[in-house]
Amino acid sequence: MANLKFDALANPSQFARLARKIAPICLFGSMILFGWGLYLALFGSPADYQQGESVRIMYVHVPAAWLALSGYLGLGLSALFFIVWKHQLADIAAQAIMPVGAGFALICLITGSLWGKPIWGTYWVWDARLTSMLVLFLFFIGYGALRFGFDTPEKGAKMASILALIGCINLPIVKFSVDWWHTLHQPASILRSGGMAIDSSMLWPLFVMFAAFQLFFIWIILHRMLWMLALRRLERRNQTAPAATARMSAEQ
Amino acid sequence: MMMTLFWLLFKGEVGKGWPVIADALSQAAFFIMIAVLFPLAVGPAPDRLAELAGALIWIAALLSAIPAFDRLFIEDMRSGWCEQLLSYGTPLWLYIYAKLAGWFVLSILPLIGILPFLSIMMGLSLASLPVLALSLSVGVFAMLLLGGLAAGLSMGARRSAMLLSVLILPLMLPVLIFGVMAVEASIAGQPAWPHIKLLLALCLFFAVICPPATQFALKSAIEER
Amino acid sequence: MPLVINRLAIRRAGRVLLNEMSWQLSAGQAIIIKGANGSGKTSLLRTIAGFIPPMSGDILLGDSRFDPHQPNSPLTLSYYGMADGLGEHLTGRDALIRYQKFRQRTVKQPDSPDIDRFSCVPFIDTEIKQLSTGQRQRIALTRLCLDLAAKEEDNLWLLDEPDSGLDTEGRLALEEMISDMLASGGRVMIASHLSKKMRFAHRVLDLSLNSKQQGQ
Repeated sequence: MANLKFDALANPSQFARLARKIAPICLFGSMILFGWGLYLALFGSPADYQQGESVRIMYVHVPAAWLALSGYLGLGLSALFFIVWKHQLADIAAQAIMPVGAGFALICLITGSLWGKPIWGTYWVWDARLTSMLVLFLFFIGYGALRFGFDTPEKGAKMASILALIGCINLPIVKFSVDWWHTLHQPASILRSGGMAIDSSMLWPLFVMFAAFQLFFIWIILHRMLWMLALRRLERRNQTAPAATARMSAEQ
Repeated sequence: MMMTLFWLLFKGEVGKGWPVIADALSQAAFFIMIAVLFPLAVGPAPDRLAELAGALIWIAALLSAIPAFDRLFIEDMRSGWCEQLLSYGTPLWLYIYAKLAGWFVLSILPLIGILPFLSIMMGLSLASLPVLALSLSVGVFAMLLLGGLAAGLSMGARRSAMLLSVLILPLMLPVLIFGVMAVEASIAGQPAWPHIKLLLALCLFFAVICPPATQFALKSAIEER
Repeated sequence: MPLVINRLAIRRAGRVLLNEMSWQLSAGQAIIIKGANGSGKTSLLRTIAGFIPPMSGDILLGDSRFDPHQPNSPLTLSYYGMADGLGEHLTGRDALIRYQKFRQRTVKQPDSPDIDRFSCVPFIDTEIKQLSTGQRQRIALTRLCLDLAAKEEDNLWLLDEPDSGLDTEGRLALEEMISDMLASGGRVMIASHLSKKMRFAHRVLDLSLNSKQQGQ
């Protein structure tokens, strides 16, 4: 993912130039893929013999899950870069990812819930994947709450980055624990952790939707980062404080 | 030499006299309140109570600890004690360990003392008490490590108590899950050892990663003052 | 070994408070930092104390980077600031004894006159949270006197407005204490905005905000 290659794009203006070139390509590509993908998803692929038409939600639900997860990993990586190298771009990247990742986590939860209603009869079940996604959503919210919960954004930046790192480390543990809890408490589950077997005729539309969503995600992130970079530059220009001059006298 | 420093810090945390004892007692009182309110709300059916007992004890332990998390570092930070410690060459992670260890000792003893009465009230067999106490102890220590991290991160924020609660839930989830499973296994008379071993592993893992992360948070807070 | 401050630049809240200044501080030397409120005196002291990373530049002791927080640092750092870091639930005496234990020194009771220069004995056995601000300040200053008694250490004192709120007697005791510290080879940096001259030899570092203002 382009937003992870920071060692190559360390210079903010260089990054901005590159981002301005890549972003429209991503947007264009994602729009085309969305068009194609939606056609395939809605018309070009068969309905599931068990679930009927409602399986088509999968084409949104699964990419959203992937983006939420990889978004959080991207957040963690940016946080790491920020803490270790104190790089401004890393902090901007993390800030850019947070609401988008949270949004996709929410989409995943909502589509998962809508998908579940016709299958399980309820809008929510505490199955391993949905619960883990809820925890992921909470981690995103926690990052945002820490980030903006202080009087100045600088105070929150470091704290939020630590949380992002710990969250990334914690995430596999959470997934493992919820998995284990789930298998011990609900022996019969319709949605096994491996998921349903996906027919090859559904794989292709899924890939197209995947690519569409991924490009869209990259476009949003780049767009937000460019916007934030411009904002910061503006702030810096407005802060022309008189340069301090200090003098050291002789011994007296 | 580290040990003498740790002991000095630990004695400082525990030896504050009445204030810390009062804190520990109010935490225990909160624990009792939740543990008693719950059966009253759920109804007296003994089977249902025994089923829920493990989860109840854990939720009560977690919730009763949360008010104390919020105040964990704030006094020392505001008074300048953390800065003094830094200038003495004392590593902050040692201070964090000592603080958590002190709190653990003060808060776990009343909890374990109440357990026999709770077990009777919820119809649990007294034979499961030792395992219950052990799993609770290990789990509470893991909880304190994570809570200390959340406290260090949210210190100084506006509405830090609310922020703390948002942070704690996703962090505590694995500890809660394994803790409750250990307790339920011991109540049901099944071997709880696999769960306790998992809890121990989790506790050790957090004991390694949480204090350095908390130290980083405290140092950042000092920087921003 | 001189403490070398090399092209130090400090920025706080977006404002540059110090712009690449260099100076040295050797044993027995004192520097008084003057400047209006908000000019960066506290930030400078906190940067040298290691609480704030500088914007650029470094602080060296001899050839290597000066790390004030390392356990066996060649220079013993004492930071005196707005927040005194005295334990609320301890008595003054216990706080001073605790200080010596943390510094791993043999514990001396603070009753002798060469330690109790600020006349704290009358209230030294009262709980600190019951003391007035002035009394707390004097106990925190007595903590510095304990550094004087520790002859084997090389001290660096960073004092942030130690004289504010002191009466004439207190100021006298403060100046004597600093003079004695300098005489035994310690180094002192003091932030102060009181204009009375100090009695020991010192340089003045004037942080001014306006480039037109000349400092002295």
